[in-house]
Amino acid sequence: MSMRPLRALPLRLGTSIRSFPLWERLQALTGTLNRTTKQHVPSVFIDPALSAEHPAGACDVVLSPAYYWVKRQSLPVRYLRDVKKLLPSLFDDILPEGNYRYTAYREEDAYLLFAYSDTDIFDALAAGGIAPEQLRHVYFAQSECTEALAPTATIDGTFCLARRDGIVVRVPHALAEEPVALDLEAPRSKRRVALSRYGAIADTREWTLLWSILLLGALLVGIEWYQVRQKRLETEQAVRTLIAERDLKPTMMQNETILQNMTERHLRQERLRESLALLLTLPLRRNETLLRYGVSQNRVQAVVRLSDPARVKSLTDLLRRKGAAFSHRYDKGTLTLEMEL
Amino acid sequence: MNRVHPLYALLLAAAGLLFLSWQLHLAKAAYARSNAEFKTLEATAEQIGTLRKTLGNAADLTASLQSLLQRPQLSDVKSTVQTKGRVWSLSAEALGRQEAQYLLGQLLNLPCDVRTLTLEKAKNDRVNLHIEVAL
Repeated sequence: MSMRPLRALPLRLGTSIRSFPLWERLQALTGTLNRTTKQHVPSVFIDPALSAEHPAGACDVVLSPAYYWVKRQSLPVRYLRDVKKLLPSLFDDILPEGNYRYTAYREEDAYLLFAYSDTDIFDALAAGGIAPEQLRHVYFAQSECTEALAPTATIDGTFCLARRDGIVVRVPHALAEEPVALDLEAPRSKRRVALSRYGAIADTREWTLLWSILLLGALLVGIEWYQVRQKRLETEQAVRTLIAERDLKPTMMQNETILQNMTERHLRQERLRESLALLLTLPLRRNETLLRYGVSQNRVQAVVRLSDPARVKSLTDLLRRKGAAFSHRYDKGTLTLEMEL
Repeated sequence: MNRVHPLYALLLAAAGLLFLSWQLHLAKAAYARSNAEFKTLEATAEQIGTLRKTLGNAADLTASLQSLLQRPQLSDVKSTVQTKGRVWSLSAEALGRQEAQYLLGQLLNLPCDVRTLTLEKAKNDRVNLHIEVAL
């Protein structure tokens, strides 16, 4: 059985709604509005026939059947999750064009199936004077009306809530054969309605596309991150292997210091050998003697006994032509040549 | 209202994706640094390896000095080799001109660090040689 209650019914709501004696009753029903505790917040019943309530603080909202479609149906399906997959097709033939959300729960041997529009409900909440930030939870009247309560829940002088074949509907008062009560002071059930405040900005397909793009992006980023991480681990392993194979120190600073020392030693040895070669290849005459030849600290020294003071010039000129940087002194036939390393 | 709102969830997911991208950026930067360090270390290791060969090692130097003094050209030379830590001292006395030139040439070709070298004229046109090499 399916029933779309009342939105299409011509409601005759005038400015004098407050003059109805039932108004006081509804006021009593919604009297918990101003009592807000952490555990208990007041509940407000929203119906097209009622004027705005403007509750002071947070509140729970019980939706009139005017704001949703409901079916009670026995389905050959064992699990609720399987029922939820079928919901769009079960309502397909009765819903007008638009974006809808669906929910269902089991009641005795049948399933209660619901379809509703977030946008319509938020419009109704706005019309009822309830700001989105005040809204705590939303419930269907279906789940909040109990048969054990007083026989009539009158909405105004014309309509009331009644149960027909297990479904709570909004019917003209005169036709209410099995009226039900709505106790807004009683604790609410756990059958909350999930609303998507911005659901209307994209339909299901677009949401799916957005999520797909995000997930694809996350997947790509994740894959790349994994690859980069693997490369980094490989590089770190290569560093460890290199250090072990080449007998290096563990830190770059130590290795650079070692290299610097070795380079300095190498350059010194190159200069030393060049200087020694220059001094050893001096063209001495037969009666000229190399008295001493040595290296100490950073200096290479050669002491030569010359046959003629004029030889000093020829030898030093020769060294200069070869680009050597040296100092010399001549004393009593002995020429001392010194080169700094 | 009893579950996360899809828009919030989408924003949360987008923020998560941004965070992941940032993490990826950090990981890439860390990899680039690590790779650059590896290249530098590889080049440093190459240079150190070459210099180690040029500057020699203890086993090679000891063997080289011993084999040098046993060569026929130096068979008549009175020489001593002393080792103190990583410093080797070689003294040879009364070397002839040819021997001195040969020994000096060979010593200077050894892959080692020449600390001190003294070549002094001795009696009878002979020379004394003392050299200290180190690693």
